[in-house]
Amino acid sequence: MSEPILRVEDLRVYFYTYAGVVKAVEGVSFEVYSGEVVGLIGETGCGKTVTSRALTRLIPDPGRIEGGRVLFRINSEWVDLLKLPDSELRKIRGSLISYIFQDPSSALDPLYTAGYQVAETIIAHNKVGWKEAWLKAIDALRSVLIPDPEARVKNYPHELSGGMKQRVVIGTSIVNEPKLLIADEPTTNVDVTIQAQIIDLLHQLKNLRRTSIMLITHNMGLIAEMADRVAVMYAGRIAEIADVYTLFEEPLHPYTQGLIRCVPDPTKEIKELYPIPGTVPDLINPPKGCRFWPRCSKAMDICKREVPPRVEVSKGHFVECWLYAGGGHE
Amino acid sequence: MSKPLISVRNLKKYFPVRRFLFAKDYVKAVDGVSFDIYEGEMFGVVGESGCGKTTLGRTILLLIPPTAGEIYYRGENILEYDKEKLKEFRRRAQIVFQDPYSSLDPRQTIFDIIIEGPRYHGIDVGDPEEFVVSLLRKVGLEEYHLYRYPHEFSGGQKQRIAIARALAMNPEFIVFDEPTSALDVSVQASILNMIKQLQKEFNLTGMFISHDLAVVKFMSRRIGVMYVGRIVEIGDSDELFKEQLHPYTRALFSAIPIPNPRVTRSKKKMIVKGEPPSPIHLPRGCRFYPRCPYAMPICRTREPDLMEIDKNRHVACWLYG
Repeated sequence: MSEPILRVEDLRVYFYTYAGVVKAVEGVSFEVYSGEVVGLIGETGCGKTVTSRALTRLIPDPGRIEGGRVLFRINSEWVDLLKLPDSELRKIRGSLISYIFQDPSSALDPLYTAGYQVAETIIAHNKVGWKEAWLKAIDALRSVLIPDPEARVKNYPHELSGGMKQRVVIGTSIVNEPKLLIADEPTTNVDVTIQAQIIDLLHQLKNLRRTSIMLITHNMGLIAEMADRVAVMYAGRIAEIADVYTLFEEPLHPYTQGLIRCVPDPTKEIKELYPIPGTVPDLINPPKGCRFWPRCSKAMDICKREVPPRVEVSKGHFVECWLYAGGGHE
Repeated sequence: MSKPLISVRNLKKYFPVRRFLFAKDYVKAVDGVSFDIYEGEMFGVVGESGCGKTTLGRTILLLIPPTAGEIYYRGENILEYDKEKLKEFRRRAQIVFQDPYSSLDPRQTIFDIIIEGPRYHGIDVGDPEEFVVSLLRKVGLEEYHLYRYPHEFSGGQKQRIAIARALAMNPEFIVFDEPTSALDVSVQASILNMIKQLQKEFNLTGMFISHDLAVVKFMSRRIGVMYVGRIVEIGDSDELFKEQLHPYTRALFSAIPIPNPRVTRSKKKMIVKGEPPSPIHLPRGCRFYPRCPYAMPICRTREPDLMEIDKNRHVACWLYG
C-alpha cells in the first residue's frame, strides 16, 4: 500500500446551540492514502459532512473544533491543518485539498459565469493572468467532459442543467490538481444515468492523476462501486474501517451488518428487508458507552457503560465494538 | 391473471408555460401513456427526475385533470363520472406523497388528520378514537400518539401516519409516490416491509413510483420504465432485470450501482452520453434517439408506440418494430 497523505486523529467537533451542545463528531480517526478512494458512509446526521469540513476548518458558527489533529502531508512534511494560520490554510483549500459539495446549484455563484468561477480558483492559487486562467478554465471544463466548453464558459449557472453544474463544480475543484479531493454526496442531486457519467469521471481522475478521493455518501451502491477502503460512521463516531470487499463480505460491527442488510440488492430475490430497530440518538445527550447500544441486538452490559476501543481485527480492518474487544469476557 | 383495476389509455398531461405575452409553450409531463394495473398487484414505475412519474400518479387519481386520454376504473371511464360517482372513486383511490414533512397539516393532531377523510365521506367507523388507534397500530404506532402533532414525529413515523390516513378510507387502490426517498435506508427498510404486508392484509392494488430500481424491484412484480413523459418498457421485474430490451432501460439498469462490490465492478456498463431532453422542446421521433447508441433513420422521424413483444413485455422501440 502507498503512503498516507492525510491522518485524522481524535477529531472532535461540537455545535453550541440553544438546545445544548451537539457532539456531532466525537473522537474520529482515520487515514487517507495517496491515490485511493476512501468512502465515508453513514446516515443523515451521523457527522460525515461535518468531519469532512472540519478537515480544513470549514465549520460555521456555532460549531467549534474541540480537539484532535488533522495531519496533511505536503512534500513529505506533516502539517497539522487545525493549527495552521488562516492565511496558510487558505492556500491549501482549493489547491491541495478541494471539495465537491453536495448541491451544485448552491456551490456556484449565480452572478458569475461558469468560466469566471473556474478561472477565479486558478488565479487565487497561481501567478497567472486572466487570459491564461480563462484558457485553463476551458481546458478544465473539457477534462470534465463538458461538450463545447468554449461556449459553456460564458454560461451562467441557471443556463446549465444539474449534471452540467456538477461538472463545473468538479472542474473547479480539480483545476489546481489537488492531492486530496473531498466529494460530499457528489451524485445525490443528479439522475442515475448522469451519476454513471460522474462516477466514470471520478474514476478517470483517480487513475490519471492519482488524486486521493474522500467520498462521502449514504449510498451503499456508490460505495461498492467506487471505494477502495470504507469508514462507517454512526452518531459522530467511526464504527468500522475496512477495505471495501471485507466490509461488504465480512462486516463485523452490528451497525455495519444492519446497514448492509437493510439495503435492497436488485440482483437478488428478497422477500423481506431487515431494518435496524430504533432511531438515531440525539447527539446532545448521546447514550453513554457505545452510541449504538440502544439499537444493537448484541448489546452487553459493558456497552452501556464504556466507549468501545478501536481494535484491529485483521490487517487494516478496524472495529469499535466490545464484541471484538474482549468485552464479553470481562 | 386477474382483471385490470385501472387502465390508462393514451394519457396526456401538458402544463402551459408562458413564453411572452400570449405565446405559450407546453411542458409535456405525461405524453401518451397506456398501461393496465391488475387487481391485487403493485405496479412499479421507475424513471429519472422530471420524467413525469409523479404527474402520472396524480393524474390517474384526478388530483390534476388530464389534458387528453382515458382512465378506466373497473372498466368505467372515470372522466365521464358524475359528482356522486367521482366522490366514491376518490374515496377508493388514495395516495401517499413523497415528502411526509409537507403532506401532513402541522396544525392538526394525528387523530384529526386520520379521521378527516372518513368524516367527510360519511363513513361509519364506529367509535372514531378506537378506529384511529386500530389504524395506528397497523402502521406500527401507539395509542399515545393519538393527540400529538406532526412535528413530534420523525420522518419515518410521519410516513406511517400518511399511510394510516390513506388506509382510513378503506381504499382499493393506493398510489405510493416515492414514499421512502426522503428517509434513511434503515428506516426505509421498515416502511417498505410494512407497505408490502399491508398490501396483502388489505388486499390492495397499488402503483409504486420511485427512482430507485432496487426499491421498485423489491416492491413490484411488474415494472414500467418511464422516460420524458412516456413509458418505454413494461415487463416482469425479474425478467426486466435479466434482460432489458429498450436501450434506455439497458442504460438505466446498467447505471445503478449495486451494493455488492464484486458484482457492481464486474458488471458491464452502458454509459449513455448527454442528458434527457427538455419536456418543452422534445426531439421529433423517438425521444431517446439523441442519446441512443442504436439510433436508426426511422427513430428520427417517427415515435415508436408501446408494442407487445412477448407475454408480459411491452417495448416502445423501433429495434423491435
